[in-house]
Amino acid sequence: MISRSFFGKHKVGLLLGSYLTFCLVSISISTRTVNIRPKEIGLSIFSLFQYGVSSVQEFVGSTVNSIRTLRDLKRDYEQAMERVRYFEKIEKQYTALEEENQQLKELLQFSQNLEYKNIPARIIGKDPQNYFSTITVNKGSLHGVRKNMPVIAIQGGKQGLVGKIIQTGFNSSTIQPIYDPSAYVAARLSQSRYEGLVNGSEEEKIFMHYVKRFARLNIHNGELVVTSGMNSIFPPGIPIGTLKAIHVREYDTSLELELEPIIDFGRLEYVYILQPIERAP
Amino acid sequence: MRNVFAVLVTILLVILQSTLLNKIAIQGVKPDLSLLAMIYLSNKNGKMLGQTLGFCSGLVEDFLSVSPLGFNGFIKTLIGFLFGLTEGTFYIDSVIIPMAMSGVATLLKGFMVWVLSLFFTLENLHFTFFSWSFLIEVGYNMFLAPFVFAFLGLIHGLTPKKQWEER
Repeated sequence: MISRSFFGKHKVGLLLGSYLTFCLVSISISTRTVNIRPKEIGLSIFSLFQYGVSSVQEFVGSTVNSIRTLRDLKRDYEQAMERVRYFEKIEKQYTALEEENQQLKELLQFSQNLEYKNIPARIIGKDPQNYFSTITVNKGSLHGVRKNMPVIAIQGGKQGLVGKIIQTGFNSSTIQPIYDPSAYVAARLSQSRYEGLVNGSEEEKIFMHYVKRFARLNIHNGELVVTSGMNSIFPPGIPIGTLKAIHVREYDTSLELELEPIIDFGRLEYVYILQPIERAP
Repeated sequence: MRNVFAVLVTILLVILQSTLLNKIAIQGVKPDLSLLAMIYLSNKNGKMLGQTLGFCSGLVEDFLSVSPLGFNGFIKTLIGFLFGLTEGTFYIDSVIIPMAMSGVATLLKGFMVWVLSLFFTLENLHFTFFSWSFLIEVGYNMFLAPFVFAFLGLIHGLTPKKQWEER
């Protein structure tokens, strides 16, 4: 009787205590990376709703755009026909050049030993809060996505690094983009060959650190920065960005290079998750 | 029934926050509509529903986020409870009070993010209390609060009936 009246009287407080205790215990478990998977299960369930909303948004957007697209298509078709005739002429030249290029590559031993299969994925959401900068895609462990797989995208015909997988659900995964302050990528300036570490920032800009101070004389704005392959996650040669500004600090022994990312993350819709395969014998 | 409906509305807003609201982000900062809905409903319905709304919407945010499970749950539960305590204490006008409530709630959220980051190692968290991005979030939430409150006020079943309506 006493206990019943006690619970009735303190119902709100007890419930509040239970909620908060659950949250604190859960944070403790999550941050100590104990191998239980309630978060993955939750991500899988609720990302279905993200997927639904994202699909509706895409459907409405495509329907509205389809009328304009049809008009543009007709004009583009006529232009394309002209270009096809032009390309037919150069196709023959291209075939010959390709063969020659292949032979030269073999001679110079430039052919890569590693090949990467990829898993195309569509972006279905971003982090609901502003304090984490992650991206959610519609492919998960069921599709072969694993933690730490590199993610790239192609925009305007250019390939660029997006980030890496940091969390997987059954049918969705979370990407840590390169502009995240916790993201680090071993990188190299493509022409001058200086190495450094690319890192994001709170302003969602990307910087390359630990470039030797004397490199200042040999590098120039607009130079391409690519992954160096020095860490095992990212394969070498993936473009990250171009050199935008060089910051020199008196007290620092290395340069800080500000980069302009190859990928415009605001327009990003589709990505490719790279899947490493066995090294060719 | 009202409780379930309110929980569903706030969860829907969390999902919108992670999808459509990215389109209206200002310098990458989007408004926290679920927070606005939660403080309004907490004020109208009391601390019991307020803390439950906070707990549920916070956990859904955690599921969709890279944050540790319970991080947003903890913050939103406390805010829901605190705003539930204000039930019936003041009259919500159309502009000033909604803006003030959302400003206080967002600052409170930021403060609790900071406190939790002191006690736990939160990977991937990038939050600075005195930063442009947080200032934009506070301003954005304050700007949208009157609209969100007005919209929620129009939805039947989310708030208790007024005395003259019950008669």
